[in-house]
Amino acid sequence: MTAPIIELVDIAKSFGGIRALKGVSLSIFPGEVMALVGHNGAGKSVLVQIISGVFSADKGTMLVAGQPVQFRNPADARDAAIETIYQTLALADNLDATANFFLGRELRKAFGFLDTRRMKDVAARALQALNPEFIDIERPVRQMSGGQRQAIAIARAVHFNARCLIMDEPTAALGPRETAEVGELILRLRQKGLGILLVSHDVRDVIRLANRIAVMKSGQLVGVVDAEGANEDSIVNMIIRGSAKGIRH
Amino acid sequence: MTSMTALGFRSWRIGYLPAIYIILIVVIIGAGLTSDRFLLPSNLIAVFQQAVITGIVALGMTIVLIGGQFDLSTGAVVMMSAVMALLISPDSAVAAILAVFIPILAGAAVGVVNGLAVYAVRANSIVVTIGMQFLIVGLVLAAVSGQHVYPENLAASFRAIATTRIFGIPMPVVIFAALVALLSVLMSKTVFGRHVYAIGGDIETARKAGIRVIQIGTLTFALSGALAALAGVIIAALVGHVDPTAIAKYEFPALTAVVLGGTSLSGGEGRPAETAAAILVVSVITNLMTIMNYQYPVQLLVQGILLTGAVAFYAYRRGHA
Amino acid sequence: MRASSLTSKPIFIHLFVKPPLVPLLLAASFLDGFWTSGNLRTLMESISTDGLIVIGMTIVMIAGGFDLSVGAVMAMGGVAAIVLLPFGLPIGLLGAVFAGGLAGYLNGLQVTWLRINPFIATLSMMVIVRGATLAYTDTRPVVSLDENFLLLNGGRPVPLPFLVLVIVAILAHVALTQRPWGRHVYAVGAGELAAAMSGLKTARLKRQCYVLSGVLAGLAGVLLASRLGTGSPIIGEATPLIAAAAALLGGASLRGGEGSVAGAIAGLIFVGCLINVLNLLDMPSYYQRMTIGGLLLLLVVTDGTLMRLQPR
Repeated sequence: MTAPIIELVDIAKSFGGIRALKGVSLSIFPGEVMALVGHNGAGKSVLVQIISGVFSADKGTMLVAGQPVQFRNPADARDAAIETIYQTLALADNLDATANFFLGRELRKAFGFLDTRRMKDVAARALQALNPEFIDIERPVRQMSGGQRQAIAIARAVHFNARCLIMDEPTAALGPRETAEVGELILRLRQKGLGILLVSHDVRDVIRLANRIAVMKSGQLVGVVDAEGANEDSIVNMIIRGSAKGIRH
Repeated sequence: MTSMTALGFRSWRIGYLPAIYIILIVVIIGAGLTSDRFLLPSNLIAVFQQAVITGIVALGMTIVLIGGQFDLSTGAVVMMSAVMALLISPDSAVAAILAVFIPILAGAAVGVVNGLAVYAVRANSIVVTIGMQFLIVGLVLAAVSGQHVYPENLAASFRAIATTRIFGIPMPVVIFAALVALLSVLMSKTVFGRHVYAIGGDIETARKAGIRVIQIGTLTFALSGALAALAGVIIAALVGHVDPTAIAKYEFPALTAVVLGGTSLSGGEGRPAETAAAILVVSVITNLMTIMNYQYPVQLLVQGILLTGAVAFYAYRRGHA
Repeated sequence: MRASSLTSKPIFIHLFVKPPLVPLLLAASFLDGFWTSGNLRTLMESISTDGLIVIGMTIVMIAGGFDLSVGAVMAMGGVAAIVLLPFGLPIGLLGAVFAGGLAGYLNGLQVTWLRINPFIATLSMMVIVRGATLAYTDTRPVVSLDENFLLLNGGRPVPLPFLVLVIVAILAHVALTQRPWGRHVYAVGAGELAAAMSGLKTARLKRQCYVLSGVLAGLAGVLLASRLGTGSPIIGEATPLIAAAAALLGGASLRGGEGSVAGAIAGLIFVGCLINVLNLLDMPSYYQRMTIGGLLLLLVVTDGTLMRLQPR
């Protein structure tokens, strides 16, 4: 049995007096899509932010490819080949596509100078591989459509050789055609052997795209079910009720 | 040309040239037409001399503002640095070197304190730097007991900073031009510059991208402080004595120029070269007013209106302040 | 009563912790001459003018803004009053107050209509007003020998300006705590978007706060001019800082949505006494500058730290 890419053991996190996560254990395997669903405030975002290095857990351990890790900041998570695509995409509006693609890991020449030409080449190729219609690479991101911005965020994550990709509500702001494209992309990435954590509100989408579905409520993991054979109502039931009664694990 | 658009924003252009340069040419022509005293070589040199001090301060302010924050303590740092340079009594070449570097280090140190307060503690940069301004002015006055600083025997090597001419151009102007070139390269072609733009554009995004926001942000303030201190050293070399109670407020004309030059008040946009052009615009206008015998109060008034106008104009153009 | 409930009551905090008013007064008692009637009167006079401005500043801060122009408007108010005196005392007063209100309204417009950052907007206004005042008076103070005007500062045992402050404070307190208007101002400061979505006219409310700040600054200018006998165009450089420090000490925050008149008064008295003590100790004015600057810095830094530790 292959080792999980990411394994969370008993992760707990509090903010002031609020216990956002109360001991969550979860494993994500390479080549699988693990969906994370639950109400607002269930703790999904906090869990994601702990895996992506924005916060550190108060208690519990996180293992990447079998090794225990401590992420002090988002850069550490990236170094461990965990890429995150935030719901807000985390793009800098005042910079262009290339600059955003390489943000925080710019290609350098000597003495801290930017290697703009190489970055443009690499970014252009990566973006066009994803979306051949992506031509205007020099426009400020501020002027781009939702789908184009999404493409930059995804292309960036894929390019930097993620072992694990976290996608936070990737289709929330997209139309049906772009949603389908993202779905195809996710399947392709899965075939490449990436482990994907997909956070979503849309239970139907999730049943279609994911291998397993983890349901959270009030900071705890209610249960993890196989997507195959799951039905929407029972999942929604788990989200609302917080109980896994009558569900196959 | 690539590096210009890589920043993802385009300055207001008329044709291919950023508008501020056109404005500069227009203003110079206008001034020349309004008063024949303006175009006298001695006057033009005075314009440049004036521009240099405020200009160096404005360059520092531009960098801090690109990162999204304000540095209004620069006037006090200029004064502090001028006083320090003269107190070190540069009567020899060795002392002259100290008189240049120690104030600059002090200015950078002030910048570090500002930067940490703003980026590490997340305090409001305007209030912090205004408070710092008061604190420094008070400290300097206390240090010299309010007395005029008038050292004897300033070494020629020290005064040379201000008095040498290279191909007929005064040294301070050369220094300013060199700084504009250096800072332009720093901001548009280095990783540091790129990161400052990112922080100014969206600080959370920058943080998530792994950019060391606190370090880089603090560095921008340190740079601003060091530049202000350099300006102070130049003044000390130029004038030879300092009256610490006559605190000139450089921040305001500098801020006006920074905004006029297209740097956004919310951060993430701006170029040192365009600030430099804007500084010249402000200097020409101020000079014209002096020639036409409008004293300091009117100049202040005009600067204020200029600032409000520039902010309003760019806010309208950008869709946000 | 349990000890914990006493120490968390606002009145306790305002007197002993932030600002540490009572400790300061106790320390000041060791100074010869602090508790004399002469010094107390001086204290009351200076607190009166600054106090009006602190109340205005607090209101603007509660609404989420800031007003750097108060010092310049105060100077303008004093000059305007004296210049208009030949038309009668009421005209002089009204003129100063009107001018202050106008400046405040323009500040409000910059912030709400042009959407300029309040610090920059009021900074520009400060420069414009200062420049205009200096230009008009040719940088020289305007003197008034009008007896009625000078009498504005009189009154036994309590000077008139102090009474004015008390009245204004009571009115402001009532407006902020008992009237819907006050609640709306707090709401705008706490979250402008939410307030707007709840149907509040946020832009108008903010403009009103800036107008109030300007009016109070103008009024303060008149009273100050009456005390000094002249309208000086150069006073008030440190005023915005002093007012901000006092407001912050009194519980207002740069975040908006916080503050109170009671706190503002406590902060005002603290800063006023501090300056008074420095004067009694014969400290030159630059030590005062340092103290105020350093105090403000400290306050803003702690305000910022608290912001980080307690996200709303």
